[in-house]
Amino acid sequence: MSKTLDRRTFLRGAGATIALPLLDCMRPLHAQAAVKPRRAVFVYIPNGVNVLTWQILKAGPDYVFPEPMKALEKHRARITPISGLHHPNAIGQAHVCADTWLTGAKIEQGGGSYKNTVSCDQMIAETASPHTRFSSLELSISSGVGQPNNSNTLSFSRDGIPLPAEDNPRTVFQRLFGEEPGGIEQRRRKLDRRHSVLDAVLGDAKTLKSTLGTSDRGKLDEYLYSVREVEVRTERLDAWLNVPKPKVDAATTERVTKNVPRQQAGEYYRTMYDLIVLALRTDMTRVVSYMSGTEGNGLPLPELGISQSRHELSHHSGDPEIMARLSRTDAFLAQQFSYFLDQLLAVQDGEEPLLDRTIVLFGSGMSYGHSHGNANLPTILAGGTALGFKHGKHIDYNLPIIKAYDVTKAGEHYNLCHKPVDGKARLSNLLLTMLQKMDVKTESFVDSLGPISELTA
Amino acid sequence: MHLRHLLCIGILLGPWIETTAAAPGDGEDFDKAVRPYFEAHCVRCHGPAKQKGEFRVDTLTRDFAGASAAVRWGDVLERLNTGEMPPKGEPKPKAEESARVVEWVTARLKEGEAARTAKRERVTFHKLTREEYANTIHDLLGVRYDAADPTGLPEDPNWHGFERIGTVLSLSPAHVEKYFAAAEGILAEAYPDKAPEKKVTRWTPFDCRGWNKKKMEEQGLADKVRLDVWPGIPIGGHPGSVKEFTAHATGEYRVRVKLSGLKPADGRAPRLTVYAADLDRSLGEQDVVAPEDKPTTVEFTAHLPAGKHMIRISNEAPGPGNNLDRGGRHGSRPFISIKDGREPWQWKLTDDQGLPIWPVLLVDWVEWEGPLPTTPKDFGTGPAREVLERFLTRAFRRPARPAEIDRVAALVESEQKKGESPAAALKTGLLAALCSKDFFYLVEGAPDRTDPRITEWELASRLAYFLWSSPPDAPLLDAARDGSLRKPEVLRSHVQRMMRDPRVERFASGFPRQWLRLAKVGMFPPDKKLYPTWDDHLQKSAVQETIAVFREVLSKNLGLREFLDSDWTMLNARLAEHYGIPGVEGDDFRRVTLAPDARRGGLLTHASILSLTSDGTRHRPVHRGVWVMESILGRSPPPPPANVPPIEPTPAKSPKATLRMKLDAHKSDPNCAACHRKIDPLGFAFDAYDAIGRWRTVETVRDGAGDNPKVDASGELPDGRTFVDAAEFKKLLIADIEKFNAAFIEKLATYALRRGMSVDDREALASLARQGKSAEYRLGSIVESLATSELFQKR
Repeated sequence: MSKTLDRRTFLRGAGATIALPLLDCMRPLHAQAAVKPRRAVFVYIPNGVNVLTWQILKAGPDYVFPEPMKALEKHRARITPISGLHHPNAIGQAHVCADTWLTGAKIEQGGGSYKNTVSCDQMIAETASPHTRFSSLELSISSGVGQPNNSNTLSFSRDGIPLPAEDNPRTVFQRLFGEEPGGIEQRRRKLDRRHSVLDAVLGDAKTLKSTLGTSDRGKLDEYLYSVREVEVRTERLDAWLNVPKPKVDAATTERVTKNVPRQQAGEYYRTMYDLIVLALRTDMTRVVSYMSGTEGNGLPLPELGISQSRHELSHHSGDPEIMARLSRTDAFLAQQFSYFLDQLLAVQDGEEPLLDRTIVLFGSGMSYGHSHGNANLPTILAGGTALGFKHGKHIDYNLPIIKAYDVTKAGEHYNLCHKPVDGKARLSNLLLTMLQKMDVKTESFVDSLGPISELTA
Repeated sequence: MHLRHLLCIGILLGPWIETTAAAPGDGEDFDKAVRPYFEAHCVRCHGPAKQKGEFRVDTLTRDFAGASAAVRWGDVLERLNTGEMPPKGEPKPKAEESARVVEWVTARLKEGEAARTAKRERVTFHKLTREEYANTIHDLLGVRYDAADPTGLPEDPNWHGFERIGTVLSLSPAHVEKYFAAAEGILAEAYPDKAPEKKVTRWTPFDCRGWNKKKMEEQGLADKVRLDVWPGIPIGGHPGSVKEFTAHATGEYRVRVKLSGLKPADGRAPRLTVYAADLDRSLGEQDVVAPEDKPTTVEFTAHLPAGKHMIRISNEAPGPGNNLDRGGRHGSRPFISIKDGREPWQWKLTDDQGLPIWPVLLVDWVEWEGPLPTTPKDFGTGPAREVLERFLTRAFRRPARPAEIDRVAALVESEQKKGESPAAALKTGLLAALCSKDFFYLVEGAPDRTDPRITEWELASRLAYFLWSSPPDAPLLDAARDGSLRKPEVLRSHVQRMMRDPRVERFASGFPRQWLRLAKVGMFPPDKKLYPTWDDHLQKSAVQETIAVFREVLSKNLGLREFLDSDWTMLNARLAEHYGIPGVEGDDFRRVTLAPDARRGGLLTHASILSLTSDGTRHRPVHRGVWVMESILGRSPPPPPANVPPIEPTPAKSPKATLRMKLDAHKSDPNCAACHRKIDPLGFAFDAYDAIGRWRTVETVRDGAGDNPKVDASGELPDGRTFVDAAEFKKLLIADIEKFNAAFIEKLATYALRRGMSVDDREALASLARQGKSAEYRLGSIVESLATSELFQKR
């Protein structure tokens, strides 16, 4: 018992010395500033894009924004579109691309256990979590984890277990900012009770574990890890009890918790983006993954007169009308993303906007959705200029080899969205770059060959 | 070929590891019989020079203890056995030579299996599915838990449609948090500090629509006002409107609706539906036909969590569209009677004889009553330790161990020391039990146990979760306790009892749903313009047909043949209308004998099966072929190559072509044909059924010129047998019923044992297949054979 008390007293102390970031809307607990936060956001769009209209044709700083990307032109100096990236393990797979966008794993399709590996956002969360009440936030168009090979979440734990996402802004807001009824002591009692229960079940499992050989423990280890994680969270929540939650003003609360039906897609997306900004600016978390659509559930856009889901549009069979609609949907999603960047710019974090210390990855695990091409992935990196990222150009790994694009020859362009032109142009290189800038101590991530120096040079 | 007749079982030589010397006879046989055979017939295409199918025989491992050896050598065995290899066009080896190779491989595989059994994970944990969790909670505590609600448990991932595969059901910290929260809510409902008061809430017509009550009272008509609920418009009178109902406590609520239902003579009945939008759950629905002057009362019971719920009560029959002005309103006066005159611009409710021409509900009131009192399970009184022992024993489905009881008892004591009341402290102890691995996992094995069979306690659980998806009942537990459960007569009598128990419904609906991939029905919603008759009611009815057929075959112990073809099916009025089968009235399902020209019979012509492979606009014959391969023949085709180009639309001036014609490459290109000649015919056989399962003779095609092309449902199987239509194809399947029997048994075993079947299970499955055959493939007998088999008791 005493061991537990000591540990928890220590944590409580540690909680009191964590200074809050210097946002204009809050006061720090201590005069000394803590190390300034680094944040990472991952935004996913499913089923690829209309690759013929999305492709930027020239590399370098003077590139022309294609029609669907026009809404991002005002952010030219703060973004880097990248062409030619792929996950080698995902080539030839279909909709499992969402499961592996942030993990780069090879998912065996022939039955047996579904095994994924850790997603890079969770690696970042491990480093960032001591500083924030919530180690990460997983958001999605569909709650839960989805199915193996059709995930509702981008985030996977160290053991490759999917972390369920939330799809309802109100639920998320409640979790982040809601006050529990009753006072601190009552909350503390509840947490203590939970801790005691978890200790009891853990003790039981640990006894069993000690009697089993190392090779026999797969599911038991999963259980132990998951229960222990919740226990750690309980301890962390207890430590945070002495740190008051920020008060969110009524107007903001109303804006992010109103019930927006999915039929008003734009409004719904913007509400989710507002919620992410709010979570970041209050330092509730520093790591967010957001599936604006899942491979099986990409919102139709009635406000554009498009009733098909994104999946249906992506399987266009060459029909020009459907392809045009897909382009319009791509443009719509780019527009919402541009709004998100606007909001990150509008909030000041000390002397600089939030966006400067927030690195954002926007893209898909699929490029040519119709026949499930996963090479030449649509990818845009944004923000993080105060973390060492340099933007303003289009990085292209195809052009050095193919010399020029010809999107009028659809078949040829589709081919390079199926078979990677440059086998060394790996999405894991980009993820590694992000990991390293987020202070994760690692030299590689899955099959990475090294960080992308053009992003930070 | 039946080379298996020639097999002799090799002597078990123990695990064979590459580094040790070969056992006598083993290496000799390999060098004498196997190696020369491979060199003569296989290595040319599967060796150092060429590796067709990415397969090499000359580098196959000789270590049969490893799992990969079993798979690769199992492949070799199967292809030699079926005559698939060497392929057509290559010289065929002598039958005896092939037999020797097959014998050798089989013997080695058996040795490997023995080696692997010794290596298996000592203790296995198979998580309960969320449905099983809810059933277990109800069995243990008498409380309903809505596992599928947004506030419940995450969806179970599936493997080839099966939602209960132990290795696939993972546990994350988020799951643990949800189990904790669920258990807290469940215990609060089962043992509340103070029983919640039962309340009654009534919604009158004036509560649902903004009509002027005072004016009606003045006219003495307030109590005669009714809600006219037109098709597609909720009782609130506006499309999409919901009404808030606050459940003041979690529990069971009874919803009662007093209403009349007007049915046009040749039309559909109006359909009352009660839907909770915030939970995305239907609380109840049914067709209602009751004269205006003789209303009826319809009742549903549903479990609701405490809180506000957005309720939509509507009439989901098809109607004139939600042109509100013409339908709902009545000028200045609310609806009283169909005999009242209507404004000229409104939809007419009746014809000149006063008979209804649209399906309309006339609602008098809606009443909510709850929470209804429940009887929580009693775990007796006495010292905390005794209560805990009883609870843990029930919860863990086996006698609680002293260390387990001690740990929870210590927890209860410490809670009391911290100031909690005895009742609260005890509940915390129960909470710990419900968060324990021994509760929401099926645990089998123990660190010090090497018996390859499960224990009697574990057997009781396996049986109960197989046939009932819920915990073993008292008789099963008693038989486990006194050690009699394993006795063949006792086991058999329990299995038969369980199959007659109403709880077998969980198996009767759960297994076909998972086996036949029914969760995919509606995944691509049929396009409303192309298929205007497809609605939610039809979709539900389509799925219910398949489940009802399975249930009928199970309960009457009919043969598997009925799944391939039958002269009967189960129908309700809605589905019968869809199939064009006359004479079926009412929403409940009943057995209907099919006329020869009904073009239905067996599972393969169910609307559910035919539509689940479509993409919402058209049928997809290749997907249908794959479905038949996987669900009926138990084979999975290899995945398609990555860069298959899309199907080109027909140029505007060219004649219209069926999809089949467009898939020409599958036939003409040998790379495609190698697989597709085995897949496509199985789907083409059903080309006469459109994307929602309706019979047709021409395929409606948009692109191209000229008439719609005729359907071609003919085909040729890989072994050369041909068919001209689905009926003939079904006959060929029946001729091959042994294959279906074997595939079905494998799926059944997968469901029952919560794992995929491997080469190690081959012989046990073959034995079950033989038993099935001698029982004339009767479903009930097959289920019984599996439940009483050695395989079922294998760890």
